[in-house]
This record gives sequence, C-alpha cells and structure tokens, in this order.
Amino acid sequence: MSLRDQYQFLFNVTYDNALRERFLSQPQNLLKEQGLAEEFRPLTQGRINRIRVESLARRGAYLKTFFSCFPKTTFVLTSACRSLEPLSSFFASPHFLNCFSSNESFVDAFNSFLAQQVRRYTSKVPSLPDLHSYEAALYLLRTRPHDEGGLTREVPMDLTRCLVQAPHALLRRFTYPITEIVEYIDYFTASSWYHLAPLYAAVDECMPTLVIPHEALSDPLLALLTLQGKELRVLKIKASQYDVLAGCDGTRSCHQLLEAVESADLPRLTAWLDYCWQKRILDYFEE
Amino acid sequence: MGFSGFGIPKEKLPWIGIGVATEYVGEDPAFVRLCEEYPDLVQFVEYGGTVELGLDAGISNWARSGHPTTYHYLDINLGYGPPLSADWCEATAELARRINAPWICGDVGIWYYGQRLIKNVMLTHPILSQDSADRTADAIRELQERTGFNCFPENPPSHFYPGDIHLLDYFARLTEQADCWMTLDCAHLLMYQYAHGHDPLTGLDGFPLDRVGEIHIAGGTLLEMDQERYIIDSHIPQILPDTWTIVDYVFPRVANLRAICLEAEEQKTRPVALTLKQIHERWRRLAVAA
Repeated sequence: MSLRDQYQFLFNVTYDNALRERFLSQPQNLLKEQGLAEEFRPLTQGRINRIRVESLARRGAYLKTFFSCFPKTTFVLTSACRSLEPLSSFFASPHFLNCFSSNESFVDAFNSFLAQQVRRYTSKVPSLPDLHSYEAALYLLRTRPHDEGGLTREVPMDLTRCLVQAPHALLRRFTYPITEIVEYIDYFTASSWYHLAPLYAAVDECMPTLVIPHEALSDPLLALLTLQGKELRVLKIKASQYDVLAGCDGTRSCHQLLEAVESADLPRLTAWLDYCWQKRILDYFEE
Repeated sequence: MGFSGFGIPKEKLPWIGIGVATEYVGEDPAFVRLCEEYPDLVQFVEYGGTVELGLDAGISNWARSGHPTTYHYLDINLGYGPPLSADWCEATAELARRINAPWICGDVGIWYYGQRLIKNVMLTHPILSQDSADRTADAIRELQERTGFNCFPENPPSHFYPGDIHLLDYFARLTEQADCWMTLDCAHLLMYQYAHGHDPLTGLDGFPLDRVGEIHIAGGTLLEMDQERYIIDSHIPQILPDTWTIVDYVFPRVANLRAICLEAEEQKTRPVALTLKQIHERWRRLAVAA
C-alpha cells in the first residue's frame, strides 16, 4: 500500500463521520477491509480518539474560510436553523469529495453546495437564494482577474469582432432587493444571535453586519455587478440592456447583437454597448 | 555534516539572529510596524509563501532593503516522497532567490489535497513510520537539488499523529537520510508530547540537536477536554510555559543554530515585542552559558 493511499485513508477517516466511528469502534476490521492492516496496525493503538478533535479542528478551519467568503448567507442560514449542520454537512457531500478530481477549490465546491442548501431553507428565509447569489457574485468578482477594471478605454470598439463580458463584471437577476438593504434588527435580539456569536468568536471572526432583504420584488431586479479596482459597483439596468449584455457570449459581434434589436431601441442600446466597452465591461472574445 | 552536493555548504550558512514570521498580507503587514517601533528586536523576517500568491509588497520592500529574509514554503507535499513537480520547485526557488533567502524551510507532510490552490491548503501531519521518514527524506533531497537551496524540514502541528515511532525519532532518521538540518518548532513539539501524554522534554535527550538549524517559537491556546490536553496552534504572542521549558532545554544544545523565529503573524505590536525580548534574554543567557 503506497504512502499516498495511506494519506488518502487518513483523509477519509478525518472527514467522513461514519467511517471514523467505524474506525474507532472496530479499527482492525476496517483496516483489513481497506487493505491497510500491515502498514496501519500502529494506528489501532494509543489515543486514536484524538482524531475526533483533529476532524473538528479541520472542519472549523474550513468553516472559518467559508464564513469569510459568504458571511451573510452563512450567518442567516445558521441563525434560521440554529445549527451549523446545514454547513458542516458539506464535508459528507459529493461537492466536497468530488472536488479532489476536478479543478475546483474547496471554496468553489462549498459555493456550489451552498447554492443547493439555501434552496432547502426558503421556507425559513425566502430571500436566502438571492442573498447567496449576491455573495457568490461578489466572491466570483473578487477572485477573478480584473486588472484593467478601473480604467476607461479610449479605443473605439471593432464592431465586427465577437464580444464577451470582462472578468470583473457579472449580470444577475435578483428577486429580492440588493441595493436597498436594511438592517434586520430582530436577528440581533433573537436568541440565535447569542448561539452563533461564540462560534464566530472561536474562529476569530467579527460578526458580519446583519443586512438581509425581507421584501420580495414584484419584478426581478436586473443588475450589473462590477469591480472597478477594489470598488464594487451595483448598477441597476433595464431589461433591454440586460438582454443585449447577456447576448455577449462570445458568439456575436456588436453588429450581430444589434441586428436583433427593434429600430426604436437601436440608438439607446448602441450607446449602452459603447458605454460598456469604454468601461471595460465588455471585451473581445479571444479564441 | 559536510557539503551535501547542493547550494551552500551548511557550515557556511550565516547566523541571522532572532526574527519574526509573516505571511502574504498584501498591504501594510504588522511586521513593518514592529520593525519601526522595535528595530533592535527583529534581525530577520521569515516569509511564509506559496507559488500561487507570490511575494507581497511588505516582504519585497524588506528584502530589497538588504534585511535578512528566509522563505517558508506552504505548498509542497513532501509526504508522498518523490517525484516533486520540477516547475513548482523552480517557482519556489525563484521566490526564495528574490528575497535572498539563505535557505528554505517548511513543514513536512501533506499541505493540500486535490488542486494545489491556497484555498485547499490544510496541512496534514506526516505518518510517523520509518518508511515515511525515508520517502520524505528522498523528497527533501530532490527539493534541495532542484532548488539549489538547503531545506530545513519542520515538525508540523496536529492533534493526532498516525504512526508507530516517536516524532523525534522520525526527524532524527529523516535528517540523517536527507543529510539536512531541520527547523524545530518547539510549540509543535509540545503538541505532540501532550498528544501522547509525555513530558515536554521526552525524547530530546537522545535527539541529535546539532541537526537543528532553525528554531520556531509560537504561542498556543490550551484546551482540556475529556482528560486530554489539546493545544490550538494559534500563534498568539503568549508562549505556553511548557513551550518555554523546551526552548530552555534546546537553546544551550543547538550547536549549529542559524536562526530563531517567533511566529506571531499579524498580532499586536507590543505583546509580540515583549515576547521577542524574552527570547533575546533567554538566548543571551542560555547560549552563552553553554
């Protein structure tokens, strides 16, 4: 059995609760099953119960990272459930286990997991999916390259080249407002806050400012999120502007995009695309 | 321990003194304020880095000014043994060269699973077996040959230590097989001793302390649960009494020591300075006494 296989076994035992408990109760049998009996016989002696604390510490360290990437979503979700379980079940999910064979980081995998989790809890907090979408968009913006995001472009657009959105810009539809967020004071006085505060303190994090939207919008809010340098911009845009930007998917040039637009809208949408070009919200698609 | 076929012969590595650790902060790292306010206390800075993040402005400026700087990798899996990624070794060496590091150091074990991304980094302690020590020694030899730097492997932190030999026996074997010096982290060693119910100094009497080229000292947070003692490797400036016990034992016995590093990254300046003063005072008293 290679060292790599031995480390993989340790990893599995650390994060898989069921496997770990089997290991702690019947270590010889499990090691035999895994073909590790010889190399790992010493593991069955001594203070193997300490692996439970190792597991907790590792999960805690990851959760600290996840809290910092998605502070409001994780706070609201755990507040509503009064438990860390909706987050810690990540470590038993395919998202976590599959990311070893993909190009995802653990945070990206957690983001995908969280997107599923929040939909399960909309009966408790209807705005959770939008809150997560918002934070996921911010996370994506901050982790994607945006070196030129703050500079205005002087060169006119080549109308014949295919266009894509630049990495520092994201289009989103929200069913809850994100530009008129209000403090939801009840959460600060509710007992859940007191349950959660020590958890944040334990990972040396400040409690996130609690800002959650609580009135659903009658129509989806169409927004263009951009980073200009380190500054975040949330731009509410019209449906026609949204559609023309969404069409910039690398398959069409400016000319081709505008061919589908009604003539009355043509001047306004031409100006909009030009504005996006100048602000580097758009770029040429490079094959 | 003579010339081992790469880089500078270990005997010619310089003594660079007592310093502090920093990691990638981006702007305004705390060590800069510390050095401004207490210039006599910090003789070098150790940068904990990854190829993905590179160097930050603080450490680049510090090294550019000619101050001694060492490189602590946070992204090389030595635990599996060879082969290592040639490109990654070269990129690591380039970072170390840019700060004029006299050597590189870093914990042995597995730094990351899956993709080699900073977001996936979560150090796993090496399996403490003879086979594991030999394979890790092979990896250290390869790392040294590929980078051209002497590497001082470090004993990592953990709450759980798989394997059947004592941590110090593992490192005695590893350093002999790789013909290298090591970084002895006194706080990590205490974690191991507590995890096995040992006294802080267990095993040190037979350990080849002349293999220790660098010492790390860091504060920890002690927890007691179910009659077990656990230390959170929190890198606070307050050093646990039993960590000082280890420090006081090894200081007079480390004949080849080249550096002492306090790991208290991004902590408040004054408590860090107080601990640095204690380290200076102990080193003066104990090393001279030896």
